[in-house]
Amino acid sequence: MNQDTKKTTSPVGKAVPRIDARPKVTGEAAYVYDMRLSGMLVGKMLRSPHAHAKIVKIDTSRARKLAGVKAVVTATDTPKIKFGSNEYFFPYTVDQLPLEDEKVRYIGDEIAAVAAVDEETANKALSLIDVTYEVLPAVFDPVEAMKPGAPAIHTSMNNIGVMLPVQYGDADTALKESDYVREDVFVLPSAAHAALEPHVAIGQCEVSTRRITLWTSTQAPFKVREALAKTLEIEQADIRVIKLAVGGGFGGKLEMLPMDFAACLLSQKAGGLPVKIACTREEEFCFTRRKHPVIYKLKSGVKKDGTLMAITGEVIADGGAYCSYGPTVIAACIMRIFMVYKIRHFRVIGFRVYTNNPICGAIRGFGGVQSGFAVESHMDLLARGIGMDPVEFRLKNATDPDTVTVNKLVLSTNGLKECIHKAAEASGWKQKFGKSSSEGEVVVRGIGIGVAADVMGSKMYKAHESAGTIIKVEEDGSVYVFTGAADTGQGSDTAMAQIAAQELGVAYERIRIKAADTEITPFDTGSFASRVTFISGNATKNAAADAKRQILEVVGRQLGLEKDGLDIRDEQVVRRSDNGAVMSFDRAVQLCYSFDYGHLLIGRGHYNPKTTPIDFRTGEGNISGSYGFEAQIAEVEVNKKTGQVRVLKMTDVHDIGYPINPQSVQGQIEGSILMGVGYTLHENLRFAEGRVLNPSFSKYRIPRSTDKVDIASIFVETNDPQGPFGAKGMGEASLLPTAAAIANAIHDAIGVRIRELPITPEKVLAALNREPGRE
Amino acid sequence: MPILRDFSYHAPKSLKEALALLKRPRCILLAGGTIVLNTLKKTPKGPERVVSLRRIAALAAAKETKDVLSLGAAMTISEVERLPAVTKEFPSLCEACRRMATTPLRNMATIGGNIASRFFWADLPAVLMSLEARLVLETSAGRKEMSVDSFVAGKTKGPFILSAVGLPWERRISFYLRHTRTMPVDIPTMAVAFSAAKKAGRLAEVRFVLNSGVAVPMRLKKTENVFEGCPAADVKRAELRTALAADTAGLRLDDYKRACLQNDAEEIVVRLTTSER
Amino acid sequence: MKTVTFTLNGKKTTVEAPDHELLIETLRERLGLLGTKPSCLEGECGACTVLMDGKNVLSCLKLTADVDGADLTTIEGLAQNGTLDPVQQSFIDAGAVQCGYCTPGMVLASKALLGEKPQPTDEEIARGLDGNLCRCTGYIKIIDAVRAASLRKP
Repeated sequence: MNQDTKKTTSPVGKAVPRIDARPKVTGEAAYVYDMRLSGMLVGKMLRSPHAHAKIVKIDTSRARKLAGVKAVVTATDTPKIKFGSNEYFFPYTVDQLPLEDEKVRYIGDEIAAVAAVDEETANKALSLIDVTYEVLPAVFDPVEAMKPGAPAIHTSMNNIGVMLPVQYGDADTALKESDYVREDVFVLPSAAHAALEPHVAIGQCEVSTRRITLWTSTQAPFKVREALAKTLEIEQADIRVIKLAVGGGFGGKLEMLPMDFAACLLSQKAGGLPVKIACTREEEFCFTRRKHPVIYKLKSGVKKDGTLMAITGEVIADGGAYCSYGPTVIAACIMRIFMVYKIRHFRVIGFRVYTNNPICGAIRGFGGVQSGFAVESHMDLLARGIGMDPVEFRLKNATDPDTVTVNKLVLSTNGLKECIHKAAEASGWKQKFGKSSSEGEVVVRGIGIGVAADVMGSKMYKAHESAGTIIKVEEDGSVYVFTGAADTGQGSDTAMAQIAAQELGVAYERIRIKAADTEITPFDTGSFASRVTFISGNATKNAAADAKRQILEVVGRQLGLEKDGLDIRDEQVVRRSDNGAVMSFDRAVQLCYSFDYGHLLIGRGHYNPKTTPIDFRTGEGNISGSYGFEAQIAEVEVNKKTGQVRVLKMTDVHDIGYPINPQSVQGQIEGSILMGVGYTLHENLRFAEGRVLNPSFSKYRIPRSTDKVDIASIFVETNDPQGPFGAKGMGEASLLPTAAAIANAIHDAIGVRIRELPITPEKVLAALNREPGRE
Repeated sequence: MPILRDFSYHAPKSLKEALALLKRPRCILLAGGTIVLNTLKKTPKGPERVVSLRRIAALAAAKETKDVLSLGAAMTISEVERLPAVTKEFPSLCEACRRMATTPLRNMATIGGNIASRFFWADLPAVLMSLEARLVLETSAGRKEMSVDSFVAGKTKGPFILSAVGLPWERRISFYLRHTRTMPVDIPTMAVAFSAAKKAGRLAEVRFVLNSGVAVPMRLKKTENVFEGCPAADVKRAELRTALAADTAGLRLDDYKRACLQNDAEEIVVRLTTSER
Repeated sequence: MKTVTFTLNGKKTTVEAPDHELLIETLRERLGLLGTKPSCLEGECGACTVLMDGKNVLSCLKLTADVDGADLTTIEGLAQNGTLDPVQQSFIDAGAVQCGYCTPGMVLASKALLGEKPQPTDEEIARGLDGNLCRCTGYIKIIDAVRAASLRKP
């Protein structure tokens, strides 16, 4: 290695610069949106203009004849195999064809695709496809959709895509034994991911072998490969999905979309020419994925001393036209409660309902944002109902470390109570809560708390959810890490490099990452559910340990030393006993490659989180290898005349196990919180008759730099023994309690409870005028 | 690519040349482009000709005369915001420029475009109306002057190029209050532009202009009368409420906008009172 | 078609482009400068930001024909011979780069701001970047980066 290069050894725990930052600041980083290939065609999807209709006839003959059109495909060109994203555990949710042939179920449902020499020709070709529809009555409201007589969207009864009854103990008796019982209904709107890079895919088919390469902006290349293989009826081995730099995902790029499928199929039909299909911003808002709007009903009881006796309720989620990640969302929407609170009596039923609206899928938090708002608002009201401080209430009922919950989650390291204490202390809770002042003032302040937990190494999609890593150490000391983990901006490439360098004992700057290419890197389910640091990180650590062991074996033999008495630290092979250096790393590697040893260094590692199988009848089972916890306190200022809410400060205390890169962890927390603030105060994806009303940044407002919030971020390091270097991870959790923390703070400020998001100035004013002084 | 439909681009060097081009069919003017180009992206059949005003230097200049501050219509929002004469003498105009859109849009958008676009949510027409601005229009029949009131009422005839905005100096006090439904950087839901002269310690020639988002900017004359001839401290809340209700009786304003309007009127009283001390 | 001549990243450049072509299309498709990013194409997100005569403007709302004679800088024009501009380096150091899609626009907007206000307050920085959306960072580290860049000794 070059003598002048910076060397950061022992990089874990340090804020090393992101491994991919340089090409991003110079504009060189390659995104699929930027890719150009020789002969590349422009692909476009033909989408239904109707929310619900039978397809009577599709005639593509005029489109095919248009000069410059190289391929036109409909369902008849496909094996007509359905796909879904939760197939393994919920096979009945496999409900979508890549190109529909009998029915369309939402405005935007894909029925055909074209590939042409340029965009103008492709658009013209779309207009030349003649489709005869028989329009069917449509239903857009989930409550209406569940009523008998509602239009049937699929074949499920009452349009219920997923029904999840969760019951433990005896809730009714526990409610009767409670000193205080209350009921609340919370309403959560839809939202958009709004990643800066829209969805885009380039498919290329090698016609003679039917082998396909797909470059796509994705968080989960292996999931896309699996779905492509199924729907194209091609072996997975003949499909290569490549992830380049991705301009944000947030859950919206976690699955195969029809455009991925179409890009591949069109290329096949166009003699192997590559086909690029890209979404405009409007298409991104209307036709990709969105957040499940939820009606969350809760009725719970507590004892005078604050003990939570029972939680009951009902969750109705509008799922849109197809299932996508619906089962996971509805499950996470209900089950997170058990990570946070000690509760033995519980009865909540969840419905994920089909409607003729665009498809709802995974979005950062997987239903946990919706449940976070509902549950944490409800808990606040319960506390108030018995005159108890909300912080004390949380502490009274929070889960403890080394416990097993009623649904058999194994919470080992658990810093929740510590997080709550620290958050209260850091924010000055005692001095501020309940101190909101007199009638006379116009601008008042308030403080509120929300708590949350998240799975950090969960197994939700397959029997195994392992990740694998391969490390090759080359003769000149270069270290390549091949990981399936998909970096979409959260910093997983950097984290893998740090973990590899730390375990191998070399400088961070030596590491080169090659990630998320299904043909080259080992399997990895993808970047979601905040799993990458824990699962992929462990795989990387194991691979580095393997490579190190091989090196030490050779060195040991050469020097006549026990390999177990050796280690590699700070780029030196050292004796464990006294840290004395015996050989440099470079020299040790050369030794491996020398004539006497001829040992080519390849380290292998994989990791499957320790979980227990989930019993889908009861919901019992330890779903994750690790859990993260947090407490978030919001301080707000409310103008009683204008209804404007300003978030003054968020104090976020997070049990993350251990930060691999503190700067990256903070970056995730800061980004999540602002996304949460956006959803709380002004984001609302609005619909009418199945059509998105505000599909642009001018009408769907995401937070700008002027909306930034002051955030105090504190880590609690519980050093999870299962995590790589004690790390659990960070990705989503920080936006789970945000909405409730803010709503609770508003209640503290003006004595008014708002149960529907977004909390706009209008809602605040209306609430103040309607019920002055009361909740 | 291409994002826009085909048209021919012209960059005339003089107003005379530009006006001659405007005589041709399906011809539109291009200044900053922030409204025009976005509109074109959504228009199925666009113009045949786009006439850019970029090369006409006179349109981008500011001039101070004895009577008015003349702002060239092609001056950008950023340029106007930063002009010392605007910051000092016309704080409501400065505030309107400061609050609208975002930095890059302010760098590109022109005051002329904001006025001539005739969008309900444009900020400048209401402010300029409150400042008694005179608009200078160039037509093939010669130069015309017009009040903003007449302009927003649609009293222009035939093709014209807005070339300058003249602001009379004697507006001593001015405020601009702007509301958005979501966050501060957003299209305005509603705005109030207020200005007045001071005569012997009392408010005179009061202008209270409402940009309601549901109609063109309009003066609220009964509300103006409540302020007229008074020292600020004498303005009564109840009187304001009545006047505002009467002035806006015909408008479809929801409760939120009405509340904002009342708040704004009261806020103006507070600011006037504070500045008088 | 129009022949348009302008200074691009310090070099005199001439292109032939259709009258109706937008600057972002010319930069990406004709000149191969892919650092200027398309995201909303309606002037709301700032990903397509370039500098024109030192000010940050949106290349998705500019006709190429309309930049004749102008002085343009794209993200590719910042680093000199492999040495990063101080703003670029500050972004890396502060952890202000996550997915990176907003980064070129954000860096250029920061350059424009510092060109006009060399010692901005945090509020002035936030305001100067109000036209550049970021969904990843929450803006805090971006503002940290610009502040750090403003404090760097020349």
